Amino acid sequence: MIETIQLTKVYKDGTVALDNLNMTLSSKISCVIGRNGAGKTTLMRILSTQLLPTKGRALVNGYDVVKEAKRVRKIICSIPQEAGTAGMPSPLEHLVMYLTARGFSITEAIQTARKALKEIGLGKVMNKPTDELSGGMKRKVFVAMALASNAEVVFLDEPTTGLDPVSRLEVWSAIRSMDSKVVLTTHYMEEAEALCEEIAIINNGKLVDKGSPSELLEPLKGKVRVEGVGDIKIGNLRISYMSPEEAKSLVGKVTIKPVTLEDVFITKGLYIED
Amino acid sequence: MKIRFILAFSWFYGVSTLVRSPIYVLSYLALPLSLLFFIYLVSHGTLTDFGILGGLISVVVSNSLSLIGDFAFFKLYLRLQDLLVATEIGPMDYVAGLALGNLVYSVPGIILYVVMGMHFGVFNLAQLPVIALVLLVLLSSSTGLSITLASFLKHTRHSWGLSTFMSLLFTLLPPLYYPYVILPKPILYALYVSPSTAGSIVLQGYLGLAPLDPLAVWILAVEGIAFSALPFFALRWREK
Repeated sequence: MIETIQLTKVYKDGTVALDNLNMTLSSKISCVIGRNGAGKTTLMRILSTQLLPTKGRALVNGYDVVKEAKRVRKIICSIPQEAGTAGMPSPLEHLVMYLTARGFSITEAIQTARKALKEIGLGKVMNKPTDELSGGMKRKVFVAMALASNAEVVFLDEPTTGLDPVSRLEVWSAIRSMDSKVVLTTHYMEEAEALCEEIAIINNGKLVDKGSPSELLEPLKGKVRVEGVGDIKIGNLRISYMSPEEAKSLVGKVTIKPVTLEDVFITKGLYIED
Repeated sequence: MKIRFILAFSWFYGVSTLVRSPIYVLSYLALPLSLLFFIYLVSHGTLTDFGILGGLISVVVSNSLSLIGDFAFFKLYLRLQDLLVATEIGPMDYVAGLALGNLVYSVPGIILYVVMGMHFGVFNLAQLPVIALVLLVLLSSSTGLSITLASFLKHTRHSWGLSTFMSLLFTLLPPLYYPYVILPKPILYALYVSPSTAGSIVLQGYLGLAPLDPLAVWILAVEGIAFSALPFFALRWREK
């Protein structure tokens, strides 16, 4: 379980990335969503013991990320958002290096790495220099690390950014197959909806809402999204929410869509620039 | 120390680069071999010993200094440090992995210079242990200094300039390719800021190329310990 208590992070330049964040994530796959700069990556880095908070506490399976960092590091695997592969080493060499850092013996690391790479679809390229792989394949190397890590808690910061639709589905499948508790951040609402049992929406470092996809969609139950009319303005697009019966009268003039998590985001005012 | 990680990392960082991109070996040998060529021409062969000894030291030190760029690239661009912070290893395991990887990567150059040194009678087999010890101290101290400096960089681009400057300060200005006795004392003392100065003086003295200055032995020992230990105290591992 992940718990934050009045967790605050203020960077040296005065930017408040997390502002008294109180949150508990207890599902097997939890998701933190929010706009760019909402504080998602700062939260992941604090939970992963990479960054110290300014104030407050964060617990990972009961261990304090500041006072018990060593214990936390034994049970987590954290894949940074912009993690990149190092040109010459192969995917297998990347995984073996990482797994030995997690305490695996070299033989154990090689066996586990091979299995994970095959599972994620990199079996045929596991011995090639990573420079020769596509962007999606490089990203999958890190998902394979998480898969092989055998960690109690896995943090994945935007694991599917830049992946093609098929690769994304493969990564989703790998995430679902993990025995670990997974906490991921994403920009993709459909990803959060498809993968996560629990979603936390944060904005300006604060928790805006939290719940299962169906709980979050509850306020919009029985409504459709109507594009072309309404008070909500995003760029040139006007949006409103109404019952399907009301929307029928506008057919031909507007576009009608079923509501998704994106609409939860919009109705909470998170589209407005600060 | 996490030995398994250090070995795996040295493979990841050193062996894989060496095997898949041997051109890098040519790139780090280009400068010392060119200098050896010019020294041979200009001195009519009389200073060739210095060119070989200097090249040997230079291969180890300049590769250790190239860590400034690699460390910054790994940290800022590949987020490798973030990935590793959240594991069981500590900063010194990472530093040891980088140093060992670098040594592996430097091995072809070291072998070439050892063969040349023995062929031209600069040193013999019996003198190799002392030479190896001095080179290890230089590897460790240059690595410690490089990594500590690189850990404070905020942009990868800064590392390139710093690495070039450090390389000049550590391998070209100090008396690696020429006898240290020709340097005026104030300049010699100023150049002691680089451990390669003390290392070169110790080896020039030990191999009989110049008189042995006991002060250099002390400075090498002190700088060796201080610079090697620097990452332990100063390396930014977990960010504030």
